[in-house]
Amino acid sequence: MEIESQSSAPILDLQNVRKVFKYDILKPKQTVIKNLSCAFPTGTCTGLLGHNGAGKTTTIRLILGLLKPDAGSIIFEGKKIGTEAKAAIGYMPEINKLPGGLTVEEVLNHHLSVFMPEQFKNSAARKDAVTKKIEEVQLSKHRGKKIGKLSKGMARRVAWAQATIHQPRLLILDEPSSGLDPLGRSEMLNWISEEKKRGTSIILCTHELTQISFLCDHFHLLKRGELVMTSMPDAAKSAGPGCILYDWQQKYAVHVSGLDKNLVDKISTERRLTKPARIKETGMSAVLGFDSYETASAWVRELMSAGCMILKFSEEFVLTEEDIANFYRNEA
Amino acid sequence: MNTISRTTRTLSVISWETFVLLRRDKVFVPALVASLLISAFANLASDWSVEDFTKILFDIGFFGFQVTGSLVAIFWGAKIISDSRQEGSLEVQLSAPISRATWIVGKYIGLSLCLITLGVILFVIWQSLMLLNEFGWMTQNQIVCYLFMVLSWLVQGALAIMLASFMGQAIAMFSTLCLWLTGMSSALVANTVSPDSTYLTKAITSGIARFWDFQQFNLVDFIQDNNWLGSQELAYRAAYGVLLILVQISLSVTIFSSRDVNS
Repeated sequence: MEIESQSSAPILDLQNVRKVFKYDILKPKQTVIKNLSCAFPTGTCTGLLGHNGAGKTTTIRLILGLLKPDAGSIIFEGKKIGTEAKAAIGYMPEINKLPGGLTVEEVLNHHLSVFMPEQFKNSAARKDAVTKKIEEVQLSKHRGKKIGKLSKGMARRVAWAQATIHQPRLLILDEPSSGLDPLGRSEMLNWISEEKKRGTSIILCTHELTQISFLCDHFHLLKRGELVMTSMPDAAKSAGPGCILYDWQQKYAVHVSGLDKNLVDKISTERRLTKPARIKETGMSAVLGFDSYETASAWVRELMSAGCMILKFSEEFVLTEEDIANFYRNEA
Repeated sequence: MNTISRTTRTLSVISWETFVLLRRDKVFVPALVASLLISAFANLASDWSVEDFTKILFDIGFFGFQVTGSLVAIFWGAKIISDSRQEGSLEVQLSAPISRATWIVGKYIGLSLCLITLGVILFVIWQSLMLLNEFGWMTQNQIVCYLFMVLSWLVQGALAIMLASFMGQAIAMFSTLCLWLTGMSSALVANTVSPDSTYLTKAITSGIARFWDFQQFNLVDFIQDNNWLGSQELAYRAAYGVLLILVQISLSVTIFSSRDVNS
């Protein structure tokens, strides 16, 4: 299937970025990011995937200016990223990294003063904005509590509040639901979803494919500092032949048992239905991937009429954990 | 909002945040308690002496304050940088529109504010002690002597921040302590070096004493009016302290800006 090129200008563009670490004088240098080129389109949510040590966090740190690239450039809204540009970026790290000796209110107040000094010159306006945000993340009762005394779930809420209180244009989330209970995860997903609806560009760094499925419009998969799979044609082109362009459009999946391959051809010919974009057999059952909801629904009806058992019909990210695991195994 | 006012604003936020964190630090109260005990001990020593009551009070009390303040300055200087790195707040703060230079300078200003606060509290304690002993109000010379002591704390703080900008907390503290002791003894060593020593030994000891002499801030021996330093000498010593601070903070900024931030 031909995938259309991304037309909108990227909010963030990494161009041939390379990062080398020297951990020990006696040991050789280690290239952790190898000429990475990938774009993050404006107003969309892009997943950043990869195994542990693939270079996801290093990439985020390069974007935030915490690490200096050895080569290449990082372009934010058409300009090379600098200290001032970071006012438009919100960052939520993987673990709680807020000063434990400050209260919830103080952290957000200081954050707002640094990020939006013009809009919140007077302390009353700042206090109002902080109060509103604290209510939004349901921490009103704990506003005077020190960060170090909060539970992990509460600390994640504060981290979310500080990442979004200044209404950033780009939000970088590193494992946002890490350490949260199911209720907390669900809330976090809703908050991210709301932020996306507001038009904020999001980079979501996670191992959880369900989150990618639910939230992301694109994804980039890293392996040992290289882009090895992407849903974006431009990124695949610039990464070279080693990078797989993944057909991200297959959003609807039908899990079916008792499927005969001839039956697919028969239904397709007799009912004049578009063939599934992908068929994946998994033991006793098979997964059929479709581009549109209508086609998928029509196939469900026909398959049921033909006596097949529909196990599951879902809108899901077709790139499953099994796919990623197989990809790594084959590449190893 | 122009760049200068934005930087000033950021600087004030970081300074205030550092000040609040240090004020809540567990070391603050023990430092005050230690200073109270030193004051009490100096008071007793002064009471038990047969003459030079004021001199003994000042010799012991100021020596105690000097050591306590310097240790606190070294500990806080290393701690504020290392803690930010260890708990990761450095990563979050530097992902904001804050330059590394602003961050380091802000941290130093916050530390200075806290050391000055400590100095003010100790000053009040000291003055109360003097009034209790019927020594009256502190003289101008005594106040200047006290201010120079606080200046020496600020120098130690800058040194600790400089070393912590590229070292771990324990190593930074140990190195600062060693350099502080070197500074305290360099002039004494240079003045007492044997005349029979080689030219090289004399050159090295006097060279170190010229550039690294913390006795410049110890004016206790000059408190008496007949022995008091001239205004030019005082200005020179104050300028020396300020210069040391500026050099150390500039080095911190240079080192910190050139390195990757790893928590």
